[in-house]
Amino acid sequence: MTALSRYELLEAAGRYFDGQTANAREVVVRFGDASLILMTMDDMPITHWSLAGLRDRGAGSGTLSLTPDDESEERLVIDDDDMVAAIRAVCPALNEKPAVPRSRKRRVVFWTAAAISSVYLILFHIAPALSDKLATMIPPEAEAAMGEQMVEQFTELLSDGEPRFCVGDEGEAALKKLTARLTRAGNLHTPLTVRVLDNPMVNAFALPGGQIVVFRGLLREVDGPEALAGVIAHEIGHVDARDPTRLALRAAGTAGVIGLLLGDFTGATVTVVVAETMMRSGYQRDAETAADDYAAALLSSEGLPTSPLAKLFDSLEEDEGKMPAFLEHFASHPNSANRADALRDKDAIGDEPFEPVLSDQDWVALRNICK
Amino acid sequence: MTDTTDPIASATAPPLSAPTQDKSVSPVYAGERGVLFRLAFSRMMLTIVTLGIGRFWMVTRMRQYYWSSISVDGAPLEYTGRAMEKLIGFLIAVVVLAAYLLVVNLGLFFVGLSVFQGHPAALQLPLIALIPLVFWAQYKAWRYLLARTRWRGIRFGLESGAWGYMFRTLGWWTVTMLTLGLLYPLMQIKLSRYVTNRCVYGDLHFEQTGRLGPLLKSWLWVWLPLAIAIAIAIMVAVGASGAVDPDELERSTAGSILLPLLVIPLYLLLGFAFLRHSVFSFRYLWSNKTLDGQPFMTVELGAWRVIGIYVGGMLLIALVMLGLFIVFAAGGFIVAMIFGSSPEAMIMDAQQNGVGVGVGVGIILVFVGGALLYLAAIALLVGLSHAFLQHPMLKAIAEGTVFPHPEVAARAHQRPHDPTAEAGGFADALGADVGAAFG
Repeated sequence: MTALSRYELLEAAGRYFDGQTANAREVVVRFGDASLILMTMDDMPITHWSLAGLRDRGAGSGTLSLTPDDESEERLVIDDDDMVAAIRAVCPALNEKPAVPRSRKRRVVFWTAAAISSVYLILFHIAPALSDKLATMIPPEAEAAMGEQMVEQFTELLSDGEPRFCVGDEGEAALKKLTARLTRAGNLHTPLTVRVLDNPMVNAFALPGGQIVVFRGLLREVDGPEALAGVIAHEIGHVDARDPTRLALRAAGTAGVIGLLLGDFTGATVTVVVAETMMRSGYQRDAETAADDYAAALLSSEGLPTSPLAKLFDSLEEDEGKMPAFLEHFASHPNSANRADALRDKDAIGDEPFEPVLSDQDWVALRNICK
Repeated sequence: MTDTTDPIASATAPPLSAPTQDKSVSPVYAGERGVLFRLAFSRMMLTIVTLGIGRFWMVTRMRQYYWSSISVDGAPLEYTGRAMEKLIGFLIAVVVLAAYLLVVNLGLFFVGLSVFQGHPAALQLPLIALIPLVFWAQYKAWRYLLARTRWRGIRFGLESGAWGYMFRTLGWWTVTMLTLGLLYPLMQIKLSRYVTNRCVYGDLHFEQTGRLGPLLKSWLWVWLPLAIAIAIAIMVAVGASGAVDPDELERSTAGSILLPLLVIPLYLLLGFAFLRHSVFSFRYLWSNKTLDGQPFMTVELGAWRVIGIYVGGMLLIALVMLGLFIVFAAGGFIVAMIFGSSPEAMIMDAQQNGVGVGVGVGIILVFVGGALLYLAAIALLVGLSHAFLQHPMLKAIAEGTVFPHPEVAARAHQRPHDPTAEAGGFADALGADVGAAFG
């Protein structure tokens, strides 16, 4: 203990707090044998603290606020520069943090597992199952009202200015004819409202309450009425599965759950948005695949080919270009090439003749519904 | 300070042995700007890299530093909270809140859908369901904060009462809104009483004294101009809608030109009045607390001082950030010149020639680099705000504070450890952490 012997004669004042009361006791501090000795002002020893166990609970510079060990509630405040320097010199473990108890580590493991699994269960099992159940319990009037509100909001978002639905008389009659052929079985829970939006995008969507919106751009893109019938059959699949309502409920039910996981730190918002997009797209992709299957079954039962719809997906893929594989997690729709292949596999007609869904005259009228 | 070159001499005339009876003391804040910046910046980077989990370590370290930099009557405050217990508290909160959110979200959405007939307002209902919990969580977080604070080895504490605090806060907010904001100071003093009267140092109780009068008087400087302005605005709006006469219409157009000239000073006035009231109520409520029946502390802090700290600090931070932005923008420009390609050009190129893998990777690299810079800028911002906002603020408060009866605290006896297992985790998960300014 050569370092210690250098400070053998060093003495300094300190204030001692016994951990029982806040009363300060003025003490004299000096080094003993591998220890710090605390004495009263008239040299009566109060206690010995082992140098190895000594910890500083101060700011790490200037004044020391010492404790004999992690558990102790006693404190000794020293601000004598020489004594502070001496203690820093002989106690290398002075600034060591209290050890984390084993029980706390076990609790971290347990609660991490609990938090991850509960969030996983809620996001991927409980919320989907509950929303699917609740979607069937919403009163039809409420669902219809919600659908109308959403159509208004969506179309406004997608249009410059006032959204316009196309209302060519002959075109509408043709659209009705096409829809009627697809809903002949009459097993849908809600009546359909199929409309054409005057918008150049190649798109179509279904909203709660049997609302189906087809974009003018899609009418121009498809090769013939069978491809359009395929698209509408796909949207009817969404309506039949109550996808719009289910997905709205899932989104509502899981709102904020991912936000909880990331809590309150700067930059979290971006991460939350990315994670929620991934999750919703995951829900959506499953729904799209199911709607494709529904469309294939519906077309086949009506004696219609699925290959025109498959061809539409092929041409969409050419327009989109290939997406890097990892970005597919963010896409709300499955890969178009895979969808086209799946549809072709289910084609029950092939090259056989079939009863066209619309006459040439009707098809021309429908294509020009927006003129 | 006595002569410290002779250890024996300093032992006989120790600087700390002066009796403190009947002598008021001021706290000493010895935090250093550079240390604070370094701690906050590095811990914030860690927080970002760990997707937020590092924040528990950051908050713990920052609090340790702030606490131990404040000493009163020769003994520093001590923060004994641990990062790991905060993590556990947060995980517990996630389990509970995820289930709560699911049930409440779906329930309210379903009810809202049926009641509001699909009106989009129904989608806002779930947010309202979290508000009461925020108050509850705040109280819990204060409790954790106090239970992990020591001075002279003795613990502070907050007795239980989170539910009571939640209901009272909801009630007083309702009262405040029903009186169009007039009784806001009544809520301030009532809630402060509720919390302060549950605060303890060891076995000694704090108590909030003080009356509504001074707070209300200060508040009227905010409330009256606001009320008058709103009344005039309503009158003008009613008058303008009734104006058919061309003369009157002309006058109201003149009014619409004059309006911004009136509105901007009004905003400034209201902003100043509100800040002045906040500073006043802070000073008034803290200067009217007692510990074991004796006045606890007095705080002197002027509104202009606070404005000076905030405006000066923010200007400085803005200048630093702007300077760095210019440096990086210039750097990016030079790099683009050297390689003859900018992100836009790369995207254009990709559109023309199809997205090749190499170009795709390039775009991703630019994107990732930009994101990293953005995150580093956030860490810088956090570091600077500790160094140039929190630090001078705390310094000003410490300088203006006096404890008139430090001898009272010496009567305190130790209180047992309060486990507070949730450790502020609910407030953290709800994004409503208290003491966020100091960590």
